[in-house]
Order: sequence, then structure tokens, then C-alpha cells
Amino acid sequence: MPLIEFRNVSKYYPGNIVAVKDITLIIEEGEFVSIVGQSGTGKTTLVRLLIAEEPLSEGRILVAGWDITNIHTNEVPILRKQIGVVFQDFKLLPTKTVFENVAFALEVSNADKNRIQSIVPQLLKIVGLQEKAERFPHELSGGEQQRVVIARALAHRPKILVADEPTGNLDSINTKEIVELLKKINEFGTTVILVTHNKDTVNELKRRVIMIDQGRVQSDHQKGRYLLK
Amino acid sequence: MLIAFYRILRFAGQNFWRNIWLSLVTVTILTLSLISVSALSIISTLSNEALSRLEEKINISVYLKPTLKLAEIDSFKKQIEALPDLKSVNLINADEALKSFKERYQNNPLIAESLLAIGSNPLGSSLTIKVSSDQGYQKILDELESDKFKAYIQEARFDDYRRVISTVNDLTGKLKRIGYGVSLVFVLIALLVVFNTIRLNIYTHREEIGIMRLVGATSWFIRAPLMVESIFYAALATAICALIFYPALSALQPYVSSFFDGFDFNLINYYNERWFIFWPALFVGCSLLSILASTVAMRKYLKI
Repeated sequence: MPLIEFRNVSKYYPGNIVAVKDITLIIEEGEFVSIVGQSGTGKTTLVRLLIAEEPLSEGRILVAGWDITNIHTNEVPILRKQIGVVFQDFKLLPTKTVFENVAFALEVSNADKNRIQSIVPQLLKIVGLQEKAERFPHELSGGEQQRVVIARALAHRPKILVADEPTGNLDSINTKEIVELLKKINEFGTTVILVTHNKDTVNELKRRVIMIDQGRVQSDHQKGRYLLK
Repeated sequence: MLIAFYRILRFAGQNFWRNIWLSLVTVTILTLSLISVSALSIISTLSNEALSRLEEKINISVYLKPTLKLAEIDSFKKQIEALPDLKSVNLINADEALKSFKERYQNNPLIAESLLAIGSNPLGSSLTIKVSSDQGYQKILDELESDKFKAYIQEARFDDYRRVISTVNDLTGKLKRIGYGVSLVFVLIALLVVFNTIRLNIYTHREEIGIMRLVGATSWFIRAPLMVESIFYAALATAICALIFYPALSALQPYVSSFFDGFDFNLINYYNERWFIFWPALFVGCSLLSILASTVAMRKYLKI
């Protein structure tokens, strides 16, 4: 059974604006998939549909066999625990420390204190921030902030990690570090979906590349490259 | 479950504290609403008490001829007691009437001198008749004026407080209407202020709420702190109202005592005996008002 399945998925916005059109995709467990394309081609819309942030207009989406096409509001939190999400703009709480930001994901899910105390240091170790647990976001570099976000996204041990332009605000060194971290997470068994328009990052990865253009899948190669038109 | 409850309380407390000025404005408006409702309750209590005291005062005093013998008085009383719709018939004999008369006018030397000059007790026995319904008084008066009682009665007087009752009713009715109007205005303002406070809270916490959604918080977990926060407002407003209410009652009590001259009525005791109904009712009412405004604000602005 595929981990993620898009079946003829389309999303239209009012005014007949086509965000994505007739997308059919299958992503297997353990894959590292890059979704590439220029800005405004529908990459982020695909992510938003996958995490049920928006309803789709046509088609079906299945996650581990679970049809989330018409997911009920009450079921969204269950889905979100299975899909960790990382965005370009970090979305960290400025008044909370690194530890508290990661712990926040567990707190809102009723995890008890002991569990939080045992899981958060492990996550910070994975992302290499165990020494900076008591720092606040503004005391960290962009790359470090993104690593906190990745640690938070992993808090529920999700099956899928979706990173939407995670390196968009980072320099080349930090970009490499984040991509290496994503590869490491993928090696642990988590399926990683990297949404990016960074050609170099994709080409260095040498993993599956799905190219989206004008809301449609233009190409899908197992060891692909991001070739600019 | 307990952990969730504790965290909801903590988040609600943080919301309250981080927007302290906004929270204080909200609590102030809710307090003003509660004060106006409490004032309405005091007006209602005083008017009800005044009316029941006045109703107690309505009676027919039947003054018997001083020449009547004890047996005749007894016979008359029995005949009266046999009449329908009576609540009570109380006999005051001549000696008691004189004693009470002397007590009432003890500071009036002229009356004392007059009594001395007369020598004997000029007062006869009397009956005080209370009737169970307003309409019954005229029937009893008609009965007393009939020929069969003429031999016993010197004078029958109906102390009619109905006009006073109607005046008090009118006055309290007007006061209550003003009270309802003021309360309604405050309640509406409170609804708008709580609505706005929660709206601003949602706006200032939009980032946090977005992250909560992203990391799998249930909509209940996101809404509950805002709901609890609105209950905090109600609890604090009720507490402040109580702190103002009792000193206000103490200040009011001397005027109440002089208004109920001769009757033992204490406002503070009245509310002390009913605190377990009065304060929970105010708190629950205020909480419902606050929750209603929060719910509307959340429906409108909290997209989960």
C-alpha cells in the first residue's frame, strides 16, 4: 500500500484560478521526494492539500490507505501527527526557548511531563542543538532556527516529513546542513517530501524528483535532476 | 486529562496576563454589569419587603363599646370568627388598650394629664381583624355595619394601605424598569467588550494558534483556553462585585432601617442568608454572557 496517493487531484480557487490540475502521484514509504517547480506553480498548494489545510476541489488523497479527501475537522489533528511540516518562515514562538518550542508540539497533544523531558532532548540531539536548548529563537542563526522547526516537526515521530522551501531563507552552508539533516531523518525511515525551487539542492540529492508546472506534473524521475526550462 | 486541564488553565492565564490592560477593561465592564444587576436585586428586595410589610398592616380595627361585659365580648368575637375569609382575629381588652395607649403617648404630658382627669379607663376593648384576601375587607366591613352587630360596636375602622401599596408598586415598577434598562445596556456593552477582547486575543495569538494547528492540537485544545479565559473574566468580575456589594449594603443599611421604621429588616443579613444562591447565580450568568461573546468571536475569527 502506498504511503501517499494523489488521485486526479485538482484545486481551484474562486475566479476559476487553477492551483493544481489532475495530479496523480504515488509516494512509497521511506522515499525522499523532491517536488520542484518555479514559484506559483502549485507546489505549496499540494502540501496544503496533503496536510488538510485546504479542501480539494476534485480527486482523492490517501495517506497510508486513509482517504483524507473529505476529512472531518476532528480528524485533522490525527493526520497532522502523522505528517511533520517545516516551512520556510520557521514559525517558532519567539517567547519560548528552543526546548519549549519543541515541547510545545507535545504539550498541545497532552503528552505528560516525563515524556516531554525524555523526547525533547533526543530530538534536539538529532538536530544538533542539545547545547542550545535554553536559547531563544532570536539568539539562533537561520539554520539553527530551521533545525528547531525540524525537531518540533519530528516530535510526534511522524511517518512523513514535509519540508516546504526549508532552505529558502538560508545561506548555502546552512542549506547544506538542513539537507543533510533531512537525509539523516530519511535514513531513519521517515518519508521526506522536500518542496523547493533550489536547483543545486535537488541535483546534489540524486533522489526522486517530481516537477510541477502550471499546476500539473511535468515529469517524475526516480533519480532525477531539476532542469530549468 | 488532568494534564490537558492544567495546560488549558496555564494557556488561559497567559492570555489573560499578556493582555492585562485589555483584560482589565473587560473585567471592569463585566463588573459594572454585575453591579447594575445587583442594584436591581436590592431594589427588588426592598420593594418586595416594603410591600409585604404594608400588606401586613392592612386590618380592620373594631372598637367595642366600653360598657360591654366580658361574656358579650366573647360572644361577639365568636360571631366574627365564624365569618368567611378571615385570617386572624385578635382581641385587645380595655386594660391592654390603655397600657398600649399610655406607652404610645408616654412623651405627651397633655394626654397623661387628661387620662388622670378622667380617672377611669375611657377605652373599650377592640378587635383587630385580618382578612385573607384584599377583596374580603369590604365584605367584612359591610357585615360589621349590619344591624346584628350595632349593639357591640362603637366604631369600625379600616386602615387602608392599598393606596400606599399602589404608590410603592408604581415607584418600584419604575425603578425596576430603569434598572432593567441600565442592566441591559451594560450587558450589551459587556457582550461587545468580551467579543472584542477574545477577537484581539485570537489576533495576537494567531501565530501560536497556527503552530498549534500545525503540530496536531485539537480544535478543542485551541478553543478551551479562550473559553476558560472568558470564565476568568466572569470570576474576577463577580469577586470585585462582591467586594463592592457588601460595603455598599453597609452604607445603605441606615437608610433601610429608617425606611422600615419599627420593623427588623437587615439587608446584609438578607443577602448573607442567600449568598449560596445569589453569588453563584451572578457568576453563572456572567460566565454564560462571557462564553456567549467568546463563542461568537471564535466562530467568526478562529479558523481551525
